[in-house]
Amino acid sequence: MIGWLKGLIREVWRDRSGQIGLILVSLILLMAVAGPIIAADPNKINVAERFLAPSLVHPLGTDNLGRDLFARTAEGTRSALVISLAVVGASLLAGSIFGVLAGLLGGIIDRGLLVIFDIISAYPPVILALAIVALYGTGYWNLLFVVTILFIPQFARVARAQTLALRNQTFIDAERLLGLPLHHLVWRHFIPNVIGPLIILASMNIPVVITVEAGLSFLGLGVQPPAASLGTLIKDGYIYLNQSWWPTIGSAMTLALATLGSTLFGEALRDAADPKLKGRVRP
Amino acid sequence: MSVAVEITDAVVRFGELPAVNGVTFAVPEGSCFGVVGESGSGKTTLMRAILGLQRLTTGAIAVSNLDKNAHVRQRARLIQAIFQDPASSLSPRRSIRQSLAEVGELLDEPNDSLANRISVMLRRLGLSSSVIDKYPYQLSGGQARRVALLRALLVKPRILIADEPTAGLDVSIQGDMLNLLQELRRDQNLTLIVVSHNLAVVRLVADYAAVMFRGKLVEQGLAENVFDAPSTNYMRQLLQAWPRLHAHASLS
Amino acid sequence: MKPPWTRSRIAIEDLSVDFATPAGIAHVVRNFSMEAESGRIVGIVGESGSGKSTLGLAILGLLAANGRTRSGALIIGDQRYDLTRTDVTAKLRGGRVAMIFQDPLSSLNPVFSIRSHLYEILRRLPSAESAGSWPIVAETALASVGIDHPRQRLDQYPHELSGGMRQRVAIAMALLARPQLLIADEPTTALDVTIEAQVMKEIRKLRDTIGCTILFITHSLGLVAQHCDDIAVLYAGEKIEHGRVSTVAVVPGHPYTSALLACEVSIDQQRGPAARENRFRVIPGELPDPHHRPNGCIFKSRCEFAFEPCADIIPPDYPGSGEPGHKARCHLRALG
Repeated sequence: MIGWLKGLIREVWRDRSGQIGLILVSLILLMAVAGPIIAADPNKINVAERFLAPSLVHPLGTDNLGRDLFARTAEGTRSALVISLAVVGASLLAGSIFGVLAGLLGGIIDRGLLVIFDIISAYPPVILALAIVALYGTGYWNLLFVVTILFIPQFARVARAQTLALRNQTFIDAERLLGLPLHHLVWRHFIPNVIGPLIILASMNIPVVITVEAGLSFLGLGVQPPAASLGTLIKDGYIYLNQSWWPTIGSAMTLALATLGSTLFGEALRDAADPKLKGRVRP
Repeated sequence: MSVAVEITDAVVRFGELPAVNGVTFAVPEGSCFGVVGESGSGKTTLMRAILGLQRLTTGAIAVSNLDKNAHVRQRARLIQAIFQDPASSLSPRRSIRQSLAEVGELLDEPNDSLANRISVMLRRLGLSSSVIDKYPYQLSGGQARRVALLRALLVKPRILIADEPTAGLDVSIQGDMLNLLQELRRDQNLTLIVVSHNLAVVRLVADYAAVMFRGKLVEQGLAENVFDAPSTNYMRQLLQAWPRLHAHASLS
Repeated sequence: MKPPWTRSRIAIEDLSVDFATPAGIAHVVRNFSMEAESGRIVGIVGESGSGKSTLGLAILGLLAANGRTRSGALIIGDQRYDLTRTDVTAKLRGGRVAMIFQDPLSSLNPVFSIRSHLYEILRRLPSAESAGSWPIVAETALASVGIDHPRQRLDQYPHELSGGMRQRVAIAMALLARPQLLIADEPTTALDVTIEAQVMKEIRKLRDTIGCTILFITHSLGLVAQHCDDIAVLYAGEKIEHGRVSTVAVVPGHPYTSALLACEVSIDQQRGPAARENRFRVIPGELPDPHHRPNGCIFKSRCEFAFEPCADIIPPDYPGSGEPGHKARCHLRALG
């Protein structure tokens, strides 16, 4: 598994857009991780220093309350990454379990689960978020829960398709012939063969979650102040756009680069994993 | 003469369709038994039923002295198989070492003892020890075939089922696999069941044979009778249709 | 139905095909040349890596994206076609050259009825039968290849027919197209042996009816012995023997051919009294790397008769036996 991932990363590096994606993703990660350590306190208000241009002390300038924008952007990036990884991770886990069950058990359970997936897929995410807020208030956890549920069907469907394909493979017969218990079969042979496409799908979903979270926060439905999210930063900056464009620039650029970088990376990862794409010959 | 596999009135029905429609025969221990038939004859379904991978709708299959309710592991230690496409019979995301280690788990065998037996078998099958750390997709077709055979034999089964052992093999190398199977029979008194559509090959390796057509047995008995003196028209037609080297077409 | 053209010789001249792979350029077919009188069925025999399928695909310009016909010409009568040019091979397809594939399910379009397939051929024919006669022509074609209830079959779709029937439809399509050269690439490999025999009979009938030359590509020496007039044996991309089936099967001129004949398990071979003692012939060794052709004879590494000239001198077409037209690329034949 690790070897496979390493091989994939190497393939991604070979492709120009993959290189850009990898670099951007690394930069974003660096910012998110190193930010809190080297930057100033993101919540320190200093009205005397509002709307400063970028300088050594404040690399991205300051916002309307004199807070250091670099620190706030870093915090926003970190929260974007944490949320996207958490949401994607949770929906991947739940989706693969449901998908493998549907594929293995078949029959009415399979059909029932498929119907549930269809229902979930039919909901427009933002409308659902508004409905949740209207019913349950602007809870951070409520929102995460909803977004997770929204992503489960994709993973479940892929896991189910993989499981169905695997069930009839000869090696499953050969493994059953070794008489080992069922859970061995599931953990050692089904899951590792199912996980591959799911990881690719997950990496392609990360930019989507980042954007959804930023959008909901922009609308005031997500992260609440004083916590920083890329979405809230953009909203705050947007209000004061005629006084200073620094607050907007930093967060918007970061959001754009994070989304672009993870999209390019995800796509390059998908292409690297597909032996038929681009006429590459499997070793 | 003791019986390795006894099949009594086996029926396997998929919905309305009977894939295996009342088959009865017995495989004597230590013999090579050929099950031949064309596509749709039900021979593959029957094979899977013997291996315990397919449940019978009615009828019974008794393997050696195995109890009806014996644990899967006991059956696994007794009867193994090599499948038609050897590369796809190895788990793609596990190294050969890992796939072979599972045999150790089945047999409750300590690692060093297993490792010893593996190196002996590697030599026997003409494989270099470097294949152990490879993944199935890194092996050539011939290597994958021999690794699959190695794993099946590592279990020390008394009965081995070979599913189309020569399918997809060039004529110049299929002899390797066949000679190997013959050698194993002579050395270990292995009971070999060969399921195939290749009449010419089965005729030469089998002591006994059974011919299936649309789920039923149409011919069975000693190989020399089944192939050289068949009693049914179907078998006669089948043999007649087989391409012959020395009866060439007249020139136009 | 009489052929509209005069019987003409078919020849392939110096056909070479390369494939681009991550490991470099693989020379899959090398300098293949042969000729056949009109109306002969030529068996092209080879194992994996022989290049036999590539040969057929190259003639019709159907190579995969990484394949390239480096050189080669097809000669029909006095017309010469440059096989390196895709516009030339495109014109050959469905015109003077037709092909039957191994898997009829993928060579018939699943969304078109059998009728549509046959009409497609009639539509492209230069000698326009009036459209009004098409239903009869199509039905007759199906009947002539032994398909039962031809009128009802016309309205069926490929997936409703068995493998053997689909091949018969392919043969019926060739019957209507009336090519001068038919390439049949392993047409019966996926079929049961009784159906195989019937389809082979239809292929022979096709040749008898329209007089086309057939290149019958296969790995089965038995089929070639039984149904072909001539045989060309390919090994690792090169033709190593060529001649009449009746001659080559009895006095093979090349050690590979004789080894292959010995390896083939015959249905009426001698059986030892104890089945477990029966042994099978093998040709030990491995195919040479298609990226780097070794010097001398291509078969030398696996040949039990290799001697001094084999190491460095590529054998030319020596006479394989007394029979004219029997050629074998083996230095042993120079010794007389």
